[in-house]
Amino acid sequence: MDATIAYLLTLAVYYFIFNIQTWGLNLQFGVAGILNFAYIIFFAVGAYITGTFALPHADPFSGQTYFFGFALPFPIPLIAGGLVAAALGLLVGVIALKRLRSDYMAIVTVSVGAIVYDIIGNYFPLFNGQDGISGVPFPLQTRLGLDYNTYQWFFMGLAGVIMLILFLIIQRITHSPFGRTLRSIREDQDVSEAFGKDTFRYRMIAMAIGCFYAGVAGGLLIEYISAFNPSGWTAGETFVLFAALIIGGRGNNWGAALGALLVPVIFQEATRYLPQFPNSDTLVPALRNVVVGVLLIVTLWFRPQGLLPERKAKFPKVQLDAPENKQEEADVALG
Amino acid sequence: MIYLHAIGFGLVTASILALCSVGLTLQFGVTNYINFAIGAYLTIGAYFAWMVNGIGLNIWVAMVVGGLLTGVMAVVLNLGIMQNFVRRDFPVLFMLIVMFGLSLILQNVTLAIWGANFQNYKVSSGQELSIGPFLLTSQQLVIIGIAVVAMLGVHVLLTYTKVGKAMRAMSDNPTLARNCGIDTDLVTNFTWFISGFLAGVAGVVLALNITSFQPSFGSDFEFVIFAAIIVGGIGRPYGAMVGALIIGLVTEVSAAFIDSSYKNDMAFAILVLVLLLRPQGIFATEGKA
Amino acid sequence: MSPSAEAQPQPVAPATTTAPILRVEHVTHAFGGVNAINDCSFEVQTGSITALIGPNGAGKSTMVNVISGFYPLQQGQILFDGQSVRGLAAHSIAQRGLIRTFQISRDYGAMTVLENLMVPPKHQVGENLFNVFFRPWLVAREEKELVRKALDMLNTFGLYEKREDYARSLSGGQKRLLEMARALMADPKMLLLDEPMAGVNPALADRLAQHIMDLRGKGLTVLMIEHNLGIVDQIAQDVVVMANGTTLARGTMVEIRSHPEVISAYLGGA
Repeated sequence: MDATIAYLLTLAVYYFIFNIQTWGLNLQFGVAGILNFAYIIFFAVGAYITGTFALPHADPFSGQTYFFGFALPFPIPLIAGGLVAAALGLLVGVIALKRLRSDYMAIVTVSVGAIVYDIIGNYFPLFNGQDGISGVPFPLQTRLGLDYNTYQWFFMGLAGVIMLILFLIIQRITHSPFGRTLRSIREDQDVSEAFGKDTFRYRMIAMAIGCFYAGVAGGLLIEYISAFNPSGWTAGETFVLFAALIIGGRGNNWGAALGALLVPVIFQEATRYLPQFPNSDTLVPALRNVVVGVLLIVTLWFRPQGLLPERKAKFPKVQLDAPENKQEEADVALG
Repeated sequence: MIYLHAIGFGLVTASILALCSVGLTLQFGVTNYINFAIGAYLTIGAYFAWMVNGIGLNIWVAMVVGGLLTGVMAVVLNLGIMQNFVRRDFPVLFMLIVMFGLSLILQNVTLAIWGANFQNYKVSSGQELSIGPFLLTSQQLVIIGIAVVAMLGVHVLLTYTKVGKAMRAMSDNPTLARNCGIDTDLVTNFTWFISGFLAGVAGVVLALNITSFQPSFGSDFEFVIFAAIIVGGIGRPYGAMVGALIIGLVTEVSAAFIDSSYKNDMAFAILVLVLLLRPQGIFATEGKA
Repeated sequence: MSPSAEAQPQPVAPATTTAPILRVEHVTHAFGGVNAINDCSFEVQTGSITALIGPNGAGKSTMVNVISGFYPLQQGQILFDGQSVRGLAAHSIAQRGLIRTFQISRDYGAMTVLENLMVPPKHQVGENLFNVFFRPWLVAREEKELVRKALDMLNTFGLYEKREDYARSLSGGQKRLLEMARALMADPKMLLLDEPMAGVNPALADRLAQHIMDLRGKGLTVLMIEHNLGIVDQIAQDVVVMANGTTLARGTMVEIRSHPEVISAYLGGA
């Protein structure tokens, strides 16, 4: 296959994965106002669960150690990855989403991120520690009997279809009365509580769904590149996703998709191909993160609503019998 | 005997924690948003001191210079970034994103300037001393001494000085403080300076205590600091001192029982317990929760 | 004890019964050892407009927060509609029909005026994701009903033209109207209004007062904190005076005005 096409195919799959991540984050942060600074952890858990559910039992001579090893067929590992990530999201939510200031939410999630990173990186029996897991089988490849090149196209299509389904679902959720209640909680949690909304429960559901999306995205990544280790999910990665969402337009799934294209795909991926120079392996990623951070702060300053802002809600057209009869009176009263 | 030694180490860790968490919690009280870049402030303080130490100055002099420079940096960042967002009444949710962004920027600037290599100070490691049941280096004794002096300093500041009283007033009721004619901008900047200074000093003594450091070492310590201020009740300086003591002792003593690479995770366990049972901190009857 | 035994004579004969919908009995609430409310008791008759007045620091806002479940009930008893609110979360109390507003109007700023009104209706089928995906027709039907109801409400409150505007773009007075219209969308049995007329001009205050009286005509009970005694005189049947965290006096405005302790503690100082 032509190298350019192969590269574009890879970028497309990465883009689909980033989309799924930013949509999940959008439901949490953009719609429900949940500050989950450990978002990438749920992506990682989804990846590890998917990988170890798809891998056969750990062979002591292969040099890898990990839990599970069920050798399950696609798409069970992927769904399991999403569900386990969602379950972990609920666990974190129990601590972070109680009716506390957003500072606590942020502190708890940052700490959870550090802890999970610590444990997965250090405790080798779980997911092979810092070395990570590798050799995850490509989904359906042997069953379909495709050669490598054709399989690349197939996987892009598969990831695209999954992304599309997840897009339709998240759009439906965002624009449903459920999504409306989430937005109201984001705007003023006390007021929504005063209208009888169980705000904790709503936020827990948003947390679980968002983490499910993160988990599926992680699962897709490990199915695609067949390996995963802790260098792929540092705190900086969560930050890139927040930057993508805020620059693209929080509260708007199209904005999230635009942000995923601009920040992680074009910006992050393209700069991987800068010419090499001494120390460039630490300097380039460091400067990249600096620039993303500056972009985010500049966006918050000049265009806090992002490039594609949240749209006003649309409602079915209803004709009133006698509209506007009180308007004049109101204008008088309000001076 | 090993537990008694662990208590000694716990006191050292508590001293380091107390330095930065008192500053952090003071700043939270005055500004009403948490500084997510605190870990980076520690790191940068350590590097500032490393440069001063590198040109041949004594480590304790370097520490003070490093602290001062970090304090100045904290004020500059407040004036250049945070204050502008605060003036526009940015919601806390977005201030936290700004701080999260700032922490990554600072961490990566550190990485770009000083590289990923481990560094250490030019300092004699000091001889081990037996003080009562504890076995500590002379360096560690100095660290405890610094923390005690700093805590007394904070106490004097808050109790006897005009600016300290203004800080407390702003922490209790910012609107009222402003209406009472307190120059809130000045007090805010002063608070950032104190907080930055203490973070810088804490960074240096943390680096001394673990002997070598690199750009992410402050951030790795960050959630331990958060645990200390939450245990003490967020926004409460005296609570933070006690919180630091509890977290410092628990993490070090637990290292005698469990694999020491997980000892900081004990801080998280305590943080979770406190949040579930007494989110306002274990002393306060009510707080900014 | 029969609740009607204590019922006050009503200046306007209420169409409903005189059984109290809300009973506050010996409530005490402390912040860090200081009692903001101290053994306070009063009741609100079903279908009445009751005003809660008193000087600043009397504990009125704390009382609103305790009744609505935003502060947990520490000591004493509160019965709403015959049931204790003890241990109930704020949203559970709201679901029973006790809807409160806030002292500073708190709109959902980044949502449109119409969308603001679409939030409060309780138990919407579309708030359940199962229905959203598997019974969308039910959701669509209910949305249409709610939009009609919301537009009617906006029409009543003179905000129909503003329906597509962001709530944050409204003027202070319009926000007050929105706040009340929005609270009514929750179909309350009782409204707890925390200074609904704070900071509005006299013309709008009269309009809000008229709206509150209209609500009473529809069988709603209203308990309102209000500082403007002229308005209280005009619309409230019962007045509860709080001072230093406890009930100083209860009765009609006429009775209250002649109450010596009230005059010295409150009216005289005003």
